[in-house]
Amino acid sequence: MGNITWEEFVVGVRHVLAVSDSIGDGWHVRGSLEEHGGGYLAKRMDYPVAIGEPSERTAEDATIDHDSVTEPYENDPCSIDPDSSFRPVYGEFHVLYSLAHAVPTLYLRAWRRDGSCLEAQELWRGLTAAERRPSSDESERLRSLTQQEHPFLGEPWYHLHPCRTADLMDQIAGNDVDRVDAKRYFIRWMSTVAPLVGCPVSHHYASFR
Amino acid sequence: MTSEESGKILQFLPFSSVISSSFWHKLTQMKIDVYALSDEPVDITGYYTNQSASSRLPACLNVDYSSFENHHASVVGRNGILCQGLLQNTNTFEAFKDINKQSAINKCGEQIWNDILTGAALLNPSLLTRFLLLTFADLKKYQFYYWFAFPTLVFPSKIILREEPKELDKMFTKEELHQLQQAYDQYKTTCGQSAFVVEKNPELGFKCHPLKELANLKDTTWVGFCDPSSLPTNPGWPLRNLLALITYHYKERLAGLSVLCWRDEVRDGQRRIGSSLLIEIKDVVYPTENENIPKCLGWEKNERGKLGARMVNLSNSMDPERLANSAVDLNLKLMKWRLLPELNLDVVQNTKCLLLGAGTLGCYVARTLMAWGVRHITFIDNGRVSYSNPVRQSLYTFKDCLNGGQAKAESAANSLREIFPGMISRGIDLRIPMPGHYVTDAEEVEKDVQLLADAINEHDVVFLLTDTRESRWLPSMLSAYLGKLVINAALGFDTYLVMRHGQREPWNPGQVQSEKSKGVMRGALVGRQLGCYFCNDVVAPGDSTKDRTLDQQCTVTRPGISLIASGLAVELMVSVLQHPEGGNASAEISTAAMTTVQQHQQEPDNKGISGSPLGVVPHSIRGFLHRHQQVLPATEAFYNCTACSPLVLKRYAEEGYAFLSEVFNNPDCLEQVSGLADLHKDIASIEDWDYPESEESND
Ligand SMILES: [Zn+2]
Repeated sequence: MGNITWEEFVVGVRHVLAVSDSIGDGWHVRGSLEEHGGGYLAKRMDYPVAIGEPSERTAEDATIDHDSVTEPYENDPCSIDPDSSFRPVYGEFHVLYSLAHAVPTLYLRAWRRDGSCLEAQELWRGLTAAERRPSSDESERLRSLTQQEHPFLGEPWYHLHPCRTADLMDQIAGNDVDRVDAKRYFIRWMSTVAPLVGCPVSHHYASFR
Repeated sequence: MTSEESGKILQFLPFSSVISSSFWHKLTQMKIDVYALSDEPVDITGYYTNQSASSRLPACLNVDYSSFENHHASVVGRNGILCQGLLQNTNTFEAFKDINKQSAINKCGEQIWNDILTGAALLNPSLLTRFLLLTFADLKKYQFYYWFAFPTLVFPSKIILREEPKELDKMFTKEELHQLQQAYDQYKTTCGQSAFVVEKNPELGFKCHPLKELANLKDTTWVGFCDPSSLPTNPGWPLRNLLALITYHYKERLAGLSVLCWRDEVRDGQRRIGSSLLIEIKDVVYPTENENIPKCLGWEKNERGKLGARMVNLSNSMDPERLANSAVDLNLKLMKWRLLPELNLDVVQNTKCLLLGAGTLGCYVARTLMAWGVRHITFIDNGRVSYSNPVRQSLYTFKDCLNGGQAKAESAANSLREIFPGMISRGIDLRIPMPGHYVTDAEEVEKDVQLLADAINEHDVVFLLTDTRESRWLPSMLSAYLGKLVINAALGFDTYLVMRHGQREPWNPGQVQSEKSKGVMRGALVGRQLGCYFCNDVVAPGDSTKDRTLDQQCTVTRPGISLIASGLAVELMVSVLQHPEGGNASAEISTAAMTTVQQHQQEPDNKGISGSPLGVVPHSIRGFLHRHQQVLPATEAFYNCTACSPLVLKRYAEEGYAFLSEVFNNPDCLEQVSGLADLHKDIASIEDWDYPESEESND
């Protein structure tokens, strides 16, 4: 089975939620799973690695220093300054159901703390470096990100194009004698695809009860 | 102040604001659809977590697209701990600067203080953690100015610790920690507030209670809170207002109170609470000023460590033109990443292409160049768009034909920019001077020649796409003189010829001696040995007369032919550009036409000829649609060629326009100059100069 129905997708999502809650992995649902194609799975990841340059600054920036602001406690003895030697990057992963391809699709985006987005190439280098995944030719291909408007948010996100997903899932299931149910399908897909773009999937998800 | 000497002052780690790019998208939308010109503060939410994955990450307070949705900030959710914020988006940069920052934060401080006095914060501790966000959105430049504040009351003014904070790991056994974790989980599912009380019973172990129970619990109790900090020595910001609350209500409990900084991390699928801190308060110092409301502070420092605003430019992810640009690039990179890692896309993107002819071939060539990421395209044509054009010429529409028709070159250039604003396109309305076309207005023609020569000089690749043979002579000669790569495409009814001209260095007098034909019949020719469009006709009399004058037989062609030829012309250019030798890439005199890229990659040592990452780089591609056949002949440059012969170039170098003027008026002189006249008198093909025009464009 290379494809799954929306109902099977929901079964997979609920399984991820249940496991995620038990291990505090942070997956949650946005939108509504009750409605056909109406919701998706989301997770935030923070990376302490200093990747990418700071966003562009203009000269204007210097004029808004507000040194005139009169805060009496400018040197607040009861606070410490955050460590500025790291430039964190924040990533968000969304698992949507692709109605056209009848497969799950991974959307992702990463940004710096001021909200400026990482370009695809930085995203690549950064997220996967953080994960230190060995890369094979096949994984290189799978990682092919394209820019796509997020169906729910209407903003440009990156996604792993779903056109190969069904083939991939067929391949993975190829020698399997077990019946591949929706949960297994979903977890297999996630653990194949998500780590490629820096979103690890814990082995806990693979224990089914 | 003696207590200070004997203990350490507790220092808190402030929040670091983290704005998701989607927050800015949503704010833009809200500004346009909802707020319009209102700059009244509006309620939003943010969230933080106590699950930091690394001690190198700051204590983040996040806002994102969900910040604008209607939330009740009270419980610890899957996504973290929600907190209330106030957003004030000003209409001008001036207003942004002029907002009184101190009174803005004081106002928020009053609110917090009031929730402390009334005891509301005891019932709902999330009221203590609030934020302010000032923004100014310059939507024309996609620039956003912003400044966060995390208001905190300076009450007490100092906390003195009994000793350094300790990690739970170092104080409790695994079993004890596990029991604490269970106690917290139970509390979280029933109550779920971000601050709580931990009761430590020697027999029953740990139990967590809502904060308000502090009054009733006398034994060994801790006050706990979800701590966004992950530093080994410092708790996060929410503790500050929490201690203000406790100080106000339970002053007597402060000395000796233990505070649990609850950190609930997941690493590699394993939950870890052991890096939570336990802090023991020894004493506190109260503010010396006696005011009704404690002082409030908390404006965030900017990236230079100063109290000041920040600015972010989001044109990358918001400006539609830049989005189109990056989407186009990304699509091409996909090819590189997926199939051809050696592909050099930059060299293609930076190539400036001059298209002579904005007809069927010109339109398709431009579109294919665009698809390859070429940004710089110039058309030369002197026609106007006519009613028959749009169905075949893909850059025009019906309205371009009205009122006598738009100038083709200009119209095609505009059309490219409409399709993709990233294009740098230009149209030059110019009639290419031709041999045998008697010059009436010499001054005008001289100007046109100069214009053409300048245009060729400013570009890297010249596409010959006009529909007469004689119009190709001058650009062929000038391109040879200037050392440019020429790609030529010509059509018959169901046949096509696509070729690259042999590319040499720009003209230098030494060429006259060096480039004598060698009569190579097998093997390969390097790029500079290859012939041009005019060499081929003369050198290869063995070709059937029919094929030789492909472009002249008939200007009516099977419609698919021009698409095929245009596609091949661009692909040939790209193959040349990708070849390590560029225009000097060798072409085999006979190459199996059916070699695919994959086969080619499997035999990298293809008979000694190195291909480009895209495969072989033929000299010419001749196709016959009626047989669905294609051959790739390569022919040597002809020393007596009328267009690229060093003799002709030398003459042009010496005499310039005077020579051209002679050619235009009397093409026979070319035979003299090139030495053709001295060769066989069998060169009937030269008579073709006078072949009558009948073209689809109206020139
Ligand atoms: Zn020639």
